[in-house]
Amino acid sequence: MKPPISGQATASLAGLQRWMQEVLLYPRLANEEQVNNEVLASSRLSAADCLGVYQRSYYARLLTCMREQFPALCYALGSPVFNEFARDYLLELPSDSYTLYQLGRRFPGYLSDTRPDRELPPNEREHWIDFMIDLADFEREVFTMFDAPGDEGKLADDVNLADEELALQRCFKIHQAKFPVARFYSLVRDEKNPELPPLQTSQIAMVRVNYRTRLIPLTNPQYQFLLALGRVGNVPSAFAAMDAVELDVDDIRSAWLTPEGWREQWLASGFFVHAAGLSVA
Amino acid sequence: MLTAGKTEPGLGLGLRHCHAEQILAGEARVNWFEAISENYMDSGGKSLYILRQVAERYPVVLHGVSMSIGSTDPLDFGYLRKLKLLAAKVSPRWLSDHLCWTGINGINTHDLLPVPLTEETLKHIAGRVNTVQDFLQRQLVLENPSTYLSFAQSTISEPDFLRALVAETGCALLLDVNNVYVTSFNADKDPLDYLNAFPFEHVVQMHLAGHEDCGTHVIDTHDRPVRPEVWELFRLAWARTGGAPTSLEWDGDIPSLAQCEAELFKAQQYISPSSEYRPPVDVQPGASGSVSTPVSFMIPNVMDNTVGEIA
Ligand SMILES: [Fe+2]
Repeated sequence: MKPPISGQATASLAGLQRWMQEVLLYPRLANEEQVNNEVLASSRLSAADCLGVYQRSYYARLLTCMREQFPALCYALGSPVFNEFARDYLLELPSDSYTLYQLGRRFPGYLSDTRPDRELPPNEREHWIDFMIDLADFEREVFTMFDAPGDEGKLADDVNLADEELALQRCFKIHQAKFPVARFYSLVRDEKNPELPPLQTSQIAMVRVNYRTRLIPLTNPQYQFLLALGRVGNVPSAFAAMDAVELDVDDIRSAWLTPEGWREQWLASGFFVHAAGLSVA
Repeated sequence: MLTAGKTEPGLGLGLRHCHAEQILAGEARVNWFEAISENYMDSGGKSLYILRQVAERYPVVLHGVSMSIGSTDPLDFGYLRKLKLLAAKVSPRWLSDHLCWTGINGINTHDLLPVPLTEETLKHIAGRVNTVQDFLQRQLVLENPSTYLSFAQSTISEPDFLRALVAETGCALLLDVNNVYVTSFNADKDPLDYLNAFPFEHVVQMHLAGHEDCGTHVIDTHDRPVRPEVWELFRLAWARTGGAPTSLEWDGDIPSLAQCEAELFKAQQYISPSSEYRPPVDVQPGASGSVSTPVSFMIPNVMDNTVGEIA
């Protein structure tokens, strides 16, 4: 963030806007004399009080939006601590978008970049901070699923489709975290008051069907297979990529093909569309 | 160029996420809906799906909060392109934003900040309105904002400023009757004087909303019923505009669709050709500490939109 300028000329529209934005974002920089020069007092409020309506509302309104975009993190930290982090974030990285949907975009990265133990080797860092960052990251991913481009109305659920005809749908993601963040998130949603969980790798799929996002836990082989599928784009090539992650191709193929196995479950869960150019009439 | 028309009179409501299911189920009784443009411009998901469905059944208008027509930053053509695309998708009757700026240096404060009402500002904004109208190939509708301060350097009244802006650009106006009250109260002005000076002939839409009376000032909270003094101003404005389409904005502590409609339909009591202003009775101030320009209603409740096999 560039250092704020103070005491600047406000005679022009541009100058006035520079001044007003500065005292809005950094209320402490407001100098009484300048406020009185720019703003008229009302019969009931001083010029500073009039400006104060804008200053107070600026952080209050954006903090509300942050709490709504990160409800599980807000639960984990408690509102006062969450507000402090979010306020520092907004101070450092103010909104740069016309849409509030982007307000939390840089928050997980900000938390990670500013963690107090960032100089320590990863295994000596505080677990709870790792968890907060993991959770923020996960919540941002879930949030973006809501309005991301999707394939509603075009999902493939026909088990007779050939493997070559299957491609992952657009509103699908896999997510890996050092903590069971999806479970924690779901417990918060269901008002079960979860405790901070212990370190435990979690892998999940997020898939949107009929405009609802479903969180599905994955085993490591499932995660690796879907990761490969996302990268290579088709099922046969994804099998071929399993060697590289030290998984037995035959095991994977059988888990995929077995009745009620991955293939059938995932077709039913809306993971797939007909691959481009191969769609069945 | 498409111009806003007055062919769709009647009462409308701000489209809110929490009412979507009921509206799509056919339970709404209002004539039309007003959608916040920014909520749909980037949507490939539920938001856009809902708006498209609503637009198939009702007239809709688009109401923006981030055009920042008064900013000294360059116009954001990426934003305008997306707005134009959205308009092509849902065919709004018209498209509005506010006489305000939202930030500079690429920052969006997500507030509707006041501009100093000067000749310099008028020239600056008129140029930008013309550019926007040329780009969008349609008339822009601008709303009078709620303001909490007056700049010492302002030399023009807001009604005169808007009248001059219309004369220079051919834009139209959205008259927010509640904002007239809020701005006037906070500036020690009489809202009747404001209305008497207003160029009603250019009004294509009106807004109603609730505000909070903090005693020393009032805040445009959009979280409660319309106040009696604002209904009285509406009575006058309805008559003077010849019944401009009017929508209710309810953005905080949003009640049920039926309650929003009940509040909106109170307007019928104030609609009559011979409307005469009646001074309202005094109302008690409420608690202070409220937030102006509520925006959190724009954030969908994503958590409740997830299902997990996890917990
Ligand atoms: Fe309004």
